[in-house]
Amino acid sequence: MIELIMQNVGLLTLLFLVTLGYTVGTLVEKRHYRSLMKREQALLTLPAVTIKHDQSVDEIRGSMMVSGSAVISIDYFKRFLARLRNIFGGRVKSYETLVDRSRREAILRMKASAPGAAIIVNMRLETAAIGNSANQKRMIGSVETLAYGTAIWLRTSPTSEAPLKI
Amino acid sequence: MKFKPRPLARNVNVSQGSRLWDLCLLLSGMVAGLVLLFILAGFFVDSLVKFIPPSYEDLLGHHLTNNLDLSEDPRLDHILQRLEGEFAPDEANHTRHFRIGIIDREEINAVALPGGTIVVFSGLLKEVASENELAMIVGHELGHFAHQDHLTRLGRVLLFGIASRLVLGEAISSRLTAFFTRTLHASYSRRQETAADLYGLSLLVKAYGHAGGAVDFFIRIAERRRSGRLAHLVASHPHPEDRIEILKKTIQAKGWPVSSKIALPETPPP
Repeated sequence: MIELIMQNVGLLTLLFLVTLGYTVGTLVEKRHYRSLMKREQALLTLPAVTIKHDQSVDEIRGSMMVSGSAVISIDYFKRFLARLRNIFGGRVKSYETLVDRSRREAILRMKASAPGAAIIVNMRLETAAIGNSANQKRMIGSVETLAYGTAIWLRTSPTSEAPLKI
Repeated sequence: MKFKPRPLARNVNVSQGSRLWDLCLLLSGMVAGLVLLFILAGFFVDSLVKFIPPSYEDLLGHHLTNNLDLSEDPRLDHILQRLEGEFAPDEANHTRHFRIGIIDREEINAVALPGGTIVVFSGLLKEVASENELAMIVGHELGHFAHQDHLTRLGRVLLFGIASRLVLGEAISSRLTAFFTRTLHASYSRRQETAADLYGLSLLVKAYGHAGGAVDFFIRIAERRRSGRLAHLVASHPHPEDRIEILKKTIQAKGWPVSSKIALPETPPP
C-alpha cells in the first residue's frame, strides 16, 4: 500500500490540492456572495449608471471621480477545471464566478467611496489579469476589476446644506 | 423617469449547474482521450519498431549508455556466452552482439537497453546465490531483446509522453501522464515480462540441461517483499508469486528436470 502511495505521490498531491481548492474555494465564494448581496442591498439607493449626464448643472453641489478595485484569486480547483476546459473548449464556468465577484466587489467599493452621493454617472469597468501566465505552473492567477465613475452630490439631497466633505 | 432601486433577482452572469459534474465530464473525456492516445501510440510504435535498423538502434544505445559507469564482470560474460550459444539460428538474437556489465546501484534490478546492452545492478548481484539464477535473469533480459520489448517500451513511453504533453499541456500532463503511463502500460508490460521469463527459462534449460535455479531468485524476492496485490495492480512486473507459479507450471508441463545448481563465485575471478 505504501509502495502504491509512493509511486503516485504526484497524482495524490494533485487530488489533495483539487479537493482543498474545491472545499475552501466554495466556502470562501459562498461567504463572499453573502457579503456582496448584503452590501448591495445596503447601497441599492445609490445608482451607478453608464450615462454621461444625469442632472442639470444648477442642481449639482459637487462631483468627484470615484473608483473601487478588487483582485480575486482563483483556487486550485477552478484552475484545474479551466485547464481541462481549455482542451475541449466551451464556457469556462469556473472562471465566471471569479469575474462576477470581482466586478460586483469593485462596484461596491466604488459606491462605498462616495458616501452621500446621489448618483454615480459615467461608470466604467476595466478588467486586468494579474499574473498573465495564470495557467502556468507556480504562477498566481488573479483577476482585477477596476470600477470608476463620476459621483454627483445634489443640492436637493438631504445633506445638501452641509458643506461637501469626502 | 423615476429611478427604482431593485436588487438582482437572478445572477445571469454565472452559469448554473454543478462544477463537480463539469469536472467529472471533463475528466472522463480526458481519460478516454488518453486511453485512445495510448492505444494509437502503441499500435504506431509496435508496427514501426520492426523497421528500425540495428545500426540506428546501436546509435541510440550508444547515446543512452555513453554516460553509464558500466564495469565488466567475467561471471556475467561467461553466462552470456553460454546463453548466446543456444540461440536458435532463425531468431533475431542470433545475429546480434550483446554486451553485459554491472552498475553500482543498490536496487535489485537488471535492464535491457537499446543497442544490446544488459545492465545488472550490483544490488541484484548480491541477492543471487547461483550461476543458474543469474543465467535465468540474463536469459530474461535476452528475452526482452528477442521480443524487441526494449524498443517498444521506450517508443510507447516517449510517444505517449510527447503526445499527451502536446494535448494536455505541461501542467496537467506532468502529474497525470506519469500515472496513466504507468497504469496503462502496466498490463502490457506484465505480459512482456512473462514472455521474457518464459524465453529466459527455455534458454536456461537449453544451456544448462535442466531448469534448476529458474524460480529460486523470485522465491527469495517474494519472501522479502511481501507487498500486497493492490500495489501490483499498477506494477510494471507481475507479482513474484505469479511469476513463480507460471514458471513452475511451464517446467512441469514441459517435463524439464530440475537438478542441482552451479555455485556462483563470491568475487569475480581475476
